[in-house]
Amino acid sequence: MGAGATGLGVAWDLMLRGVAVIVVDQGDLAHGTSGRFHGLLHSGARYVLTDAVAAGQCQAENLCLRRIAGPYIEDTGGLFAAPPEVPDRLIDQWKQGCRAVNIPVAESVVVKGLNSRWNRVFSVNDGVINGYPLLQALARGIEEGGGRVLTHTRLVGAAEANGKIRKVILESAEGTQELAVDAVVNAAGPWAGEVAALWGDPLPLTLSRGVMVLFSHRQQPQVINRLDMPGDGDILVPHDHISIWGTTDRETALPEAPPPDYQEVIELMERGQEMFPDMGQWRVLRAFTGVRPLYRAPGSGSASTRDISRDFVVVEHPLSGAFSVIGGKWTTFRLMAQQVADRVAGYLHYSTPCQTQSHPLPPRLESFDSSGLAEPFLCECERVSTRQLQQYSGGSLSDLRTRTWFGMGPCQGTFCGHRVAAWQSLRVGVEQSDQELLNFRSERERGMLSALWGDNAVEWLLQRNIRFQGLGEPTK
Amino acid sequence: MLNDDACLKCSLCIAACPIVRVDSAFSGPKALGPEWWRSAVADDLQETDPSVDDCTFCQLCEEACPAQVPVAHLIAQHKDRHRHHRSKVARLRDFALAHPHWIGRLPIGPDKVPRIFAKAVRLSGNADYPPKSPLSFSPRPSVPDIGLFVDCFNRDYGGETVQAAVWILHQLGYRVQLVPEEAHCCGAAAYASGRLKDAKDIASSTYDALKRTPVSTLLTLNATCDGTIRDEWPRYLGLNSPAAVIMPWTDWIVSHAPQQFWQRLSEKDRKVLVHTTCRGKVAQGEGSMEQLVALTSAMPVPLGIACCGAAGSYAFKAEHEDAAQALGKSAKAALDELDLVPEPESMLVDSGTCALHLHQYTDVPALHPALWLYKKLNPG
Amino acid sequence: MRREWVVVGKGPSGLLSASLLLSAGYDVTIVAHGQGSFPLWSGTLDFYSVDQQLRPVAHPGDHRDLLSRYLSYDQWLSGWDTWRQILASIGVETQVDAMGANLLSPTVTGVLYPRYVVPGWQYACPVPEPVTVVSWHGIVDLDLESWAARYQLSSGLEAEIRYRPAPPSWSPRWTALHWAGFFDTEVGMAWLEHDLDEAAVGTNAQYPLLLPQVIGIRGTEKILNRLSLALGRTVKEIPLVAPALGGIRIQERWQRFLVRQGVRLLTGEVILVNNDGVKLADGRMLAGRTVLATGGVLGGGLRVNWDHTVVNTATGEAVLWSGNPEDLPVLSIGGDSSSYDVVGRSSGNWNGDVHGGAGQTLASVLKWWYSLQQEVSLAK
Ligand SMILES: Cc1cc2nc3c(=O)[nH]c(=O)nc-3n(C[C@H](O)[C@H](O)[C@H](O)COP(=O)(O)OP(=O)(O)OC[C@H]3O[C@@H](n4cnc5c(N)ncnc54)[C@H](O)[C@@H]3O)c2cc1C
Ligand SMILES: Cc1cc2nc3c(=O)[nH]c(=O)nc-3n(C[C@H](O)[C@H](O)[C@H](O)COP(=O)(O)OP(=O)(O)OC[C@H]3O[C@@H](n4cnc5c(N)ncnc54)[C@H](O)[C@@H]3O)c2cc1C
Ligand code: SF4
Ligand code: SF4
Repeated sequence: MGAGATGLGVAWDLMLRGVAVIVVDQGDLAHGTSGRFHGLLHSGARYVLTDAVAAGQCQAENLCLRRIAGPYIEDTGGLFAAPPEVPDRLIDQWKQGCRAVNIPVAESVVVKGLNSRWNRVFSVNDGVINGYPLLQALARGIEEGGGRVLTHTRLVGAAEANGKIRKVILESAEGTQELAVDAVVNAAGPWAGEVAALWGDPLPLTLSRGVMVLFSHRQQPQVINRLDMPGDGDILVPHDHISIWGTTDRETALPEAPPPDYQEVIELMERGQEMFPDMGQWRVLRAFTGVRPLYRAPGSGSASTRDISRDFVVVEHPLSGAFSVIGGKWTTFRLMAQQVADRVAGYLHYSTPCQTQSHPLPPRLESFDSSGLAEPFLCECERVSTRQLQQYSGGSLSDLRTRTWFGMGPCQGTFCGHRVAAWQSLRVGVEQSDQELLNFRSERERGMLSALWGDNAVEWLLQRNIRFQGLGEPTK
Repeated sequence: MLNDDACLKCSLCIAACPIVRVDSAFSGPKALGPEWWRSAVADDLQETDPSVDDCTFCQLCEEACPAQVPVAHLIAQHKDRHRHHRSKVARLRDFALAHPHWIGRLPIGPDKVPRIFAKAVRLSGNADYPPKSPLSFSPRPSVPDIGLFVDCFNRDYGGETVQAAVWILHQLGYRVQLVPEEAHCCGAAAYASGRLKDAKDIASSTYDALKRTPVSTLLTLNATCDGTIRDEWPRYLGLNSPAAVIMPWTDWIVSHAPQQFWQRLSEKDRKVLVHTTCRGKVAQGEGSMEQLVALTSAMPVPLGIACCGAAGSYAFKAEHEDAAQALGKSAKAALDELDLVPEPESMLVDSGTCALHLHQYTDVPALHPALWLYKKLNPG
Repeated sequence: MRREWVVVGKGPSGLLSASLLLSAGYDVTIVAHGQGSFPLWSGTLDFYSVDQQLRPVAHPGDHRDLLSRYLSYDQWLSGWDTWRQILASIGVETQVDAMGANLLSPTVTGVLYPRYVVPGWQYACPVPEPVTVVSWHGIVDLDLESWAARYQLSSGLEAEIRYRPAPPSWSPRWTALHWAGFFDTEVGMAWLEHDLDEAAVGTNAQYPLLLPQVIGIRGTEKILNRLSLALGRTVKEIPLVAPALGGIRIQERWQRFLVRQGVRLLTGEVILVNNDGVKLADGRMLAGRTVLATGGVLGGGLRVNWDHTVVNTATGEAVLWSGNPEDLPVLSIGGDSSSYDVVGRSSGNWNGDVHGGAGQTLASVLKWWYSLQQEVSLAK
């Protein structure tokens, strides 16, 4: 359950062991936190002061992912810069912590644009994860290996027989279907509590949201972290053409990521300007949130629960064949998957050991490049032409967006939305593509409104003029 | 650069670009400037677009931009990156043209360069080249009121214009000094062809030269130099402002010459064509030459085009022949559309290369407003 | 009353203000640091309010309550006449709806939309009719099949479509301006004539023939007339998205007209306004009574900071914003300041996005103009 990093990771692992797998997600791939994260391939250095185990896992997985998922990892390197108020003692402690878990640290030169008083800078082997393409590759690999990936399909119930899970009940646009299964892995991220409740064993989860601000340009070539005890607003991650600044940690009620709270965005920006004094002038595109599930181990310690790390847990439910996995990081998704898959394979009596440590992920789909093409771009910011769209023909406008990246650049779909919708209408009809365009517009608008200042505010107004006056889109 | 990430993708820059309208292979300012920049920053400045060299650096795109993106200056960076993909000959020629103040030292004028040689170094076969007309004097009052910036073109080819400008300032009672004392250039030519390091070096040495004969008011004859020194030196080249007041000569005269001065002229019923260059529009705007003409009681008639196609040394380059010619022809079309009777006797334009180009295509003698005024005040 | 006026902004409201001032004999200087919104829209002047089904319910007479925020209905009617007369004087003919019925004009996506005053080159009709549309591969804004399907949905009528290959010089980087520049040349015109001859074969000659709005910049009317004659049917354009040729044509002609009438058109950013005039960012001062036509947040007249404070860029004054996005399009600046007047989008109050755009521009300018005339007559 769940086509996020964890769910797809588990399925990939089991598939490689010869288990027949089906992945189900209520939305598209990466509908949950895996599509709403910071993008950082942790070196682990962020955690050395608070959680050496997690730090060590990050470092090991960092190296592993570079090996097996090279095309999806950007080797940007990362820097840790200490604000002047951080005592040397803490810096030394941090350096020692890094060494203890084999994180390579070196003194580095000062970075352009960084607050000039933050003059103690160190480099580590942070990187950047290209989340969407990586998950798309996993899904492709799973399907090529005989598994199935059902998106826009929701788990609504489970059926048991003799204390064992036997069926899951799924709902999609096509209707309700039942699927016979021998085991279920609940990797529903922030929804994991709800999902486990379907077989009568709700999980004690608290949810926490983090807000991130996305800037239109790659402001720095490498990741930049604040060297301090982990806190709010302390990492800038370059991601292809853009940069993401974050994040915060506030308790939140629902698993679906809420629109950013403006006050929180302001606080994040204030914090950012301590690090980069001119951040207020950077071109912002949008702000968004992601939600983390936090597992509170039940006080008594139920027999079926075992802590694997302080960072994530695997739960075996009283109902046999039902497993849940909660927490962790994108960086450590493979490790988590391995731990879960070990248990599931054991339960199913599969003896093939885990192979994900050495088995490379499927290669990246040929990415189109700009200049040589004999056709114009529909999306100029991200250079998307009809040929890329054709590659993913069949998906909705929003699927096309996350696969081709159209509408993700500085104009946020202002000038390409209607072009891609016109292309789409030839496949699904005008009325359907209009509806998809409306969904696309409101998704883009939601992000823009969360960071409504500077040129982004101008862009939003321009977009309204284009939509309502130029194109004649409905105003409601 | 400030606002280098501000692009709204609105395309107003494309609407303003004169080259887009005449060169079907030109990718246009949005693609060559902000779009290139965004991916260049992310991809470590690898990929370039060969059509970037067809940009004139008129800066009209930048002037149009509602988000104040330094469009043309991003394009200049792009040119700089692209330089290494160009032929040796083109690079050598560009290096020479980027140092117009050196070319001026050659014993013959560019108009006398044999065709064969011109072709070999990829100079345009269509363009008119300026004949030599060097400075023959150099006023040096002990305490000047005004420094007149003698640019690379006027020092060697605009002796008459400089003389006229000084004469008029003298008539108005100002003490004038020509600065800098030796041949220099503001760096515009180098910047325009994407030789950013050269631009910086040339501008710095000019700055040093200006500092040797300090003046508080610096007048320029060509609006390109005005824009470059006043705006680009501090903004893009890291130089301070070399004088407290920097202004085009024309604007100074319009705002400082008293009524009695203008009463000496009576050009009633005459129509005088006026063309504010592209760089002039960007640096200051349109209207001061028109005001100058109107003060003489003549009737100013703006030509009504964005850019004539000369653009400094742009039209001298063989690969720009077509674009320069197309723009030159639109200047002629604009003139025909005006249907002026009687035919205008002259056209005022403050740039020497534009004057050559406009004359070539419209057949109307084009000259600097200072020279025009001088001739009106000294008939015969 | 002072003779000199400074108009800040060169969007529709700035140019309209300048024209009105000029017609009453004032000295006018326009100053702006960027292009206004003209090149972003087709140049239709609208007042409409859209119902849920997007039905044409837009006749101004239906909206007297909204209209009266600015002007009486009679004033509106004469205002529209003024707008049409000014456009006619710069060479842009317009169509306007007959009493009680709107002109309908399809957008680039095929939605039939109510428009009020429509430039002559743009297709509009009082009652929907079947049409023939011809376009070329490579014009990405206009997808003919999708267009025809939506036109059918919107009007209940057929649209015949003909997709044609692009001309030989086409490249994937062509924008609307490249196409227009091509059709403005003789080669382009000849190609177009020939291509349409072929394209029209087998289409219903009773239907108007529609083309994407790329048919030249300077020569549009001439080309369209020639095509109409040759094909024996109405030939008109469908506006594309930005850059929009309709607005560009109007803007260029209007600016050229004003400069020829003696208006100074300066480039610069206003940072201070007082009773004497304005101060520009580069230090220049312009004397005159000031009207701000700075276009609100979209036009650059207001800047929203990251902490949600809002500043009037021309004066540095803070402007209060609730933080509610819906209030952003209608945010007004100052208003009652004694040192400047405000017109256009900057005058706030009316959301041009959903209540029809430039209707506000027109109304706010006229309102200001009428009160100014009252002031003048009182002073007498
Ligand atoms: C703000 C923030 C920033 C982060 N930044 C980083 C970082 O930089 N680096 C890093 O390594 N980690 C980071 N993380 C952590 C990382 O993003 C998560 O650990 C990881 O994405 C979790 O993936 P997941 O697959 O477990 O959950 P999710 O990605 O949330 O997947 C759960 C999926 O289950 C589906 N689902 C739920 N209920 C149902 C149902 N009933 N039926 C069908 N499907 C269902 C959902 O649609 C969803 O797609 C960050 C986390 C947050 C909150
Ligand atoms: C995409 C789009 C589509 C449209 N479609 C339609 C339509 O279909 N129908 C319709 O009727 N109307 C349409 N409009 C018109 C629109 O709704 C408004 O009427 C119009 O934009 C208002 O113009 P304005 O003159 O007030 O401001 P703008 O045109 O925005 O002009 C503002 C000017 O002020 C200048 N400026 C701002 N601040 C300063 C400063 N500090 N110093 C110097 N200069 C400054 C700017 O550079 C610019 O020149 C459209 C507009 C857009 C953008
Ligand atoms: S500088 Fe001039 S020629 Fe170059 S892109 Fe800009 S407008 Fe076009
Ligand atoms: S550079 Fe400026 S004018 Fe050009 S598209 Fe971007 S915002 Fe518009």
